[in-house]
Amino acid sequence: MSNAPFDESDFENLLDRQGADPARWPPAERVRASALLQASPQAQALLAEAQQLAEALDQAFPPMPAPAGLESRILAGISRPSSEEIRGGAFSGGARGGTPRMERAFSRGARGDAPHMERAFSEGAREETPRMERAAADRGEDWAEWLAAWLMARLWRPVGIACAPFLIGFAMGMGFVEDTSDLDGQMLIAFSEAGVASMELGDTP
Amino acid sequence: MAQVVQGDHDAFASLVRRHLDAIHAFNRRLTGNAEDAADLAQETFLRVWHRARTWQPGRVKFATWLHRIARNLCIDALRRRRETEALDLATLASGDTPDAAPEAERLQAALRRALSALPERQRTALVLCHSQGMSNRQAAEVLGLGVDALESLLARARRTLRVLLRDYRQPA
Repeated sequence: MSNAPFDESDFENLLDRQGADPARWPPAERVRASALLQASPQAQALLAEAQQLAEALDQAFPPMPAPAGLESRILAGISRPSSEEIRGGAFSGGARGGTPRMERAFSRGARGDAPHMERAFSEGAREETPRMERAAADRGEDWAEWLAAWLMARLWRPVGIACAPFLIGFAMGMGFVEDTSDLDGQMLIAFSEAGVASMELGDTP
Repeated sequence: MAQVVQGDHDAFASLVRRHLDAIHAFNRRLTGNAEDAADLAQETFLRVWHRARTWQPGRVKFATWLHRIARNLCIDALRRRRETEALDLATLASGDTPDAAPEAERLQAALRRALSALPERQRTALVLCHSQGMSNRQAAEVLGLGVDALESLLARARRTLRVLLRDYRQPA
């Protein structure tokens, strides 16, 4: 335990940092505060003021049980497969962040409360992007899985389109094989004619 | 929690039952709005379900991790509210409690206004330590701060409120 003096200013600092409940004070400071409280009316007044603030906060923060039905709403939310799960998507956690607001928007829409619905949807849309980014960041360890899923989702169409002309060309090329035999025949004739011409000129074939 | 990671719905339901009231109250105290508090509690638990395997048991307590998720969602919600509704702090500060209301009621209204005007980190620190029953160390972990920094936030918040209380009880 420190032997440094412990005065009213130290006690006030203790009350501000640790609160008015002595059970929360560090043991060493509790002993010193207790000694000061016995000797100092100013310290007693400080403690009384801190306790009044704590009581006022208790009243400002009354117990607030969750509304009825919230628990079942949460559990229903995990029982239903999301669109991401159906797609096997990599963004499942982040994208689902907007679900409660969207559900609320639907329920309001069902009551005919269109402006609320529009607002809820616009709020939902605004919050989707940062949540998806955060979700992707949180899944650092799954980056390879995420990349593979993303490539599969985004690249199969352009790759398919790029390959189509090649496949068509290949198929057409295979279809013209017979024509090349005619070409071979023409080349033989051309070579033999060239041989005759060179013999006439006295060259050795 | 290990069972939740495995996708056990019953374990998740038990976890929701154990923590729902605390998280709902936390959200309500940070946002000051009942409807937002319920929605944000739902989002918090859905996030827990979908990100259960990212929780590292050795590094942080489950309640701490849960409060971190809830706080981040509350900050997002408060930011959106500021953007969309341009929260009128002047109206809040002017007070809407009639002078004829009982003194205790007017004091509560003044305290709620003062709490809502505190910087977010001071308010969160106070809520975590005062009403969520967390130790200073645990609250510091939720906020991602050292204990000294957390206690400094608490001291500033309590000083502000103490001055308000003193002024209220000793009008000029």
